[in-house]
Amino acid sequence: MGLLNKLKNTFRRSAIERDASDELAWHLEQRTREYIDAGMSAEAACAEARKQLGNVTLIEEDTSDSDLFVWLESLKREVFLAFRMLWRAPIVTAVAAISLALGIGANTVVFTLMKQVVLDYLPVPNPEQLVILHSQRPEEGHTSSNGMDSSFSYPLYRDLDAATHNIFQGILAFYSINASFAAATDATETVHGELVSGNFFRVLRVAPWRGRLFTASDDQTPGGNPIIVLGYGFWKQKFGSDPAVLNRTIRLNSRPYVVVGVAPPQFYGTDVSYRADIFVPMCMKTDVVPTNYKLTDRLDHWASLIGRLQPGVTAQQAAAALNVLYPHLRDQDLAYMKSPSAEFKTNFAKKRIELTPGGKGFAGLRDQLSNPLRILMVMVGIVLFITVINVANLLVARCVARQREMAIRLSIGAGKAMLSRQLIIESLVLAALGGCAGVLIAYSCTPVLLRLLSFDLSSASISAHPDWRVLLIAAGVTFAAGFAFGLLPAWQSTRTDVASSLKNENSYGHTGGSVWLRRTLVVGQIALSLMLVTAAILFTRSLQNLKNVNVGFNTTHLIKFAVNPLQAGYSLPRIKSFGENLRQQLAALPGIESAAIATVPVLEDDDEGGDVTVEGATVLSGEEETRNHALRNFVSPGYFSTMQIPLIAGRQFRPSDLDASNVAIVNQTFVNHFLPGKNLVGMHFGRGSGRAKLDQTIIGVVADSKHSTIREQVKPFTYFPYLASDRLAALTFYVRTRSADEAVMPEIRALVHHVDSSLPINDLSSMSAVIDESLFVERSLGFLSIGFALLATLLAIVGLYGVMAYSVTRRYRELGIRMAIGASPKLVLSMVLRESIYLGIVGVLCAIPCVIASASYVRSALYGVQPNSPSSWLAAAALLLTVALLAGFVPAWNAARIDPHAALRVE
Amino acid sequence: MFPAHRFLSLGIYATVFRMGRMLSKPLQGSLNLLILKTLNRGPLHGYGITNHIQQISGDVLQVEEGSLYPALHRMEQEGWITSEWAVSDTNRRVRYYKLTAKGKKQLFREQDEWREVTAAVARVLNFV
Repeated sequence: MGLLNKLKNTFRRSAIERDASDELAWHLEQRTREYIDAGMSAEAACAEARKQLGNVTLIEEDTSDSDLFVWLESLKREVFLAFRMLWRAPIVTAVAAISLALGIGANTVVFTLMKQVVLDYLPVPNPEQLVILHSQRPEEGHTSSNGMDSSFSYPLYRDLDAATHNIFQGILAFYSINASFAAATDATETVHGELVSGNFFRVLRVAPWRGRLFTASDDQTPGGNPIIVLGYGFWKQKFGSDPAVLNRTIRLNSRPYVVVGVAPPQFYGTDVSYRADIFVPMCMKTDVVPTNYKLTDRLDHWASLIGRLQPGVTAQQAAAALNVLYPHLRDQDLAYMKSPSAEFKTNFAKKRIELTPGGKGFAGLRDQLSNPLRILMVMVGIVLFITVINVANLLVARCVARQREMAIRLSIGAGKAMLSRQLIIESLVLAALGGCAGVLIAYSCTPVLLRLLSFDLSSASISAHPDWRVLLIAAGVTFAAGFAFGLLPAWQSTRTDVASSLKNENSYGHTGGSVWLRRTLVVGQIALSLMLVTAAILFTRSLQNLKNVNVGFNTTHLIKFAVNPLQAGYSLPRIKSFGENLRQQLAALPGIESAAIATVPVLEDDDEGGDVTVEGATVLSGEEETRNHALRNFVSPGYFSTMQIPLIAGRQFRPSDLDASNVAIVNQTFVNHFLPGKNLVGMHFGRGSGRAKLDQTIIGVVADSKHSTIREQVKPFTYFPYLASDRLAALTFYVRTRSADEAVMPEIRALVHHVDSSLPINDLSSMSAVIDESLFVERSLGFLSIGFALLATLLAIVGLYGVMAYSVTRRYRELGIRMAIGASPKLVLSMVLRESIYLGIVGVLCAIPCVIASASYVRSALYGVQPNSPSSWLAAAALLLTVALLAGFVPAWNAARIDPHAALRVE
Repeated sequence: MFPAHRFLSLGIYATVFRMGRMLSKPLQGSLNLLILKTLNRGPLHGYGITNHIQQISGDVLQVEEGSLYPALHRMEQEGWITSEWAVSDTNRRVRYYKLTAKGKKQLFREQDEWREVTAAVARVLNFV
């Protein structure tokens, strides 16, 4: 029947009903008259006619059964009935709805994050046309990483963009920056932004919200265009969405810039993990990111590139075409290099560009979080699965309790299909309740989770609220879950034997099947819980291992902070005097033992390095490209004593070494790598490879310490006096305090403010907080996995308890007889407990292959723990078996106290 | 016990005849055929249809009245028949059903099918 007819009938409903009843009334009348003519009494005739016709109401309904309205009407009735039935068993309903809410809520929360961090594309048109350009490393010269894994020099970028118009609609370049920002009179603050090429917004196809965005002409003269575009969020927060901000002058790193426009609300830049507050044309680079390199330096690699492919050009075609051009473009670079060898030239010409999909932009967070998020997604998936099993279990149990009701409804004319439909509707209503509560949970928990994951919500462009697509998926999951756990009871109900149920012959006899069903469900629950508990144990151990890693220096009572005098416009000599001055003043503060400076911060995922040539050493082991590589840091006198890195040989930097450019201290790994077993004090090495001058004298060897991350293998390391450095920008201060860290922090803040009030102080925190922050992924993974494992175990307890309690009720008479003929309560107790333990053991046995099979999946997220180490899953198994024992104990206890007399008198 | 099966999804078992014994599945659909054939003679009301079928078949076929009206309704939805209202001499509203062109085609189709099936059954029965 067509929808149109259906709709028409919906509106003609009363007419149709009247027609139907009129027609049947006439039929009855005719039939009755016929019977009377045949000699029946009026009464008997009427009764016989009715009997012949059957159930008039049913026929009326059936006559209009394809009517949408009737369908909706009956659905409404069924939903109401479902609510009534759920209300009648409030505890079952509450337990089911709450566990569902937790399951669905957890999934929504994790998926909200997963979607934004891993799945979402940049909010620009046709993001699938965007590709990221990757160069091969290492590059000759200076490379700054910008958190991206690939960087190009600015001249090379311009050449690439100009030469590839047939492949790309344009290539954009950008570089993440932090700069000190001051609107007219305010104090300065550090803002995050992007240094962007003139075609940045054109290539991304972003339209201005206010004013204008950059064009190619804004990015021509180095240092010539002090203009700025504000991010929408920053504009709203800092300027109260004031449209008059256009053409205002603000100060960036103490230089005046003119605001020309505001970016649209949804546009956060190219990295979802940091909302860009400002955009600055790339030609202003030397102002915004002061270095010694000019914008035109072909050996300074720093810009990250994204290209937008011409329509119809595939990434493979583009890469092929690009790699034909690339060697020619790079020929010019060779001219700037110091006497490259022939071998180097050949290798250099082989360098290629690779293209990877760039529609999602860059995201430091994505690399860091995508694996943990995937693991979490699987975990919450398992939690949801356990929840569904649990609810199915509850409903099957309830269905057994409702067997009589079902039988009565069957016997008064309900079809089995109708009953099943009613049960499924009840499940869906239950699922909807759980789903709504779950979404509420998600709304309130996502911000908490974000905070837990140490997202700075104000700077990240991650939204704490599930958007409509996530909600749609949550609704889908809810519906699927409701259907999944509704099917089992529905199937059960169709097997109800009306007669025996009604006669109450054996109120539990027919349902032997359901015990097995429920046992299987519980075994599944235990197996899945075991996986989660194992994961929780693994992640906790891994976190513990990371926390216990010896970083090589004493992290207690150590405070760090950073300042960037170069950004504030200091000259190099002034930076040096500022540094020494502040260091000495700090050391003089009461409560502070000593203070030191490093140019590269420790354990903040940052490093600097290059090739070295060590006197008398030829290294043959390891990768060719990193064989002669050593990291470096420029440090002040007293650095090692402040950090408490032990000196192994030689001496520390003395004040007399302050600006000596020919002394260095190396770490133990340096010794082991280049000249194992030798005493290196007094020996020489040079910076650079090949024919580098051996102008550095090693004056000391210090013990190894972790530099950029806790997880890393310590690498060969060189320390130089920072005052000898010919370029200084950010200085990181390390302060060893005598007592509580917090008490000293305000004093430090006051002191820096006193020395230069215009200098923002960044990241003032204790070293243990720095380490904690560097472990945020592991910490949250550990925390969440424990939470999920507990939830899963709790649900398993509920499930197991339910099954055991039911089993004892079912065996009430049997147990009574056993006790009557001499079984001791102890025997009964152990009998029931044994059943519970067996279920536990079967669950554990089912899970172990899964645990071992999924081990490789979590390997990358672990540190110092083997994912399939038996100790982890044995511990988990022991925990779950204990839980099984506990869950079985109450029913077993009840069983042991059965009064045989009472049991035998039943029925 | 109450014949619960009678109410099992009326849609599926609607066409069941009473012939002393119930005819089962092979005769499903033949109610449609009989109704169409009856209406081929001219417009008639539901009551008349049952009577006609009963008389012509010599009381062998009795249409189960509970199934007749839903069947008529469905056939109307299919477009095989249309209905209109008239007023009886007792001043009752009476619904007359009439065969449509589409219904006529359906009648021929079902008639052919029926003949085929009964012929086939007969062949099987006559096989010695």
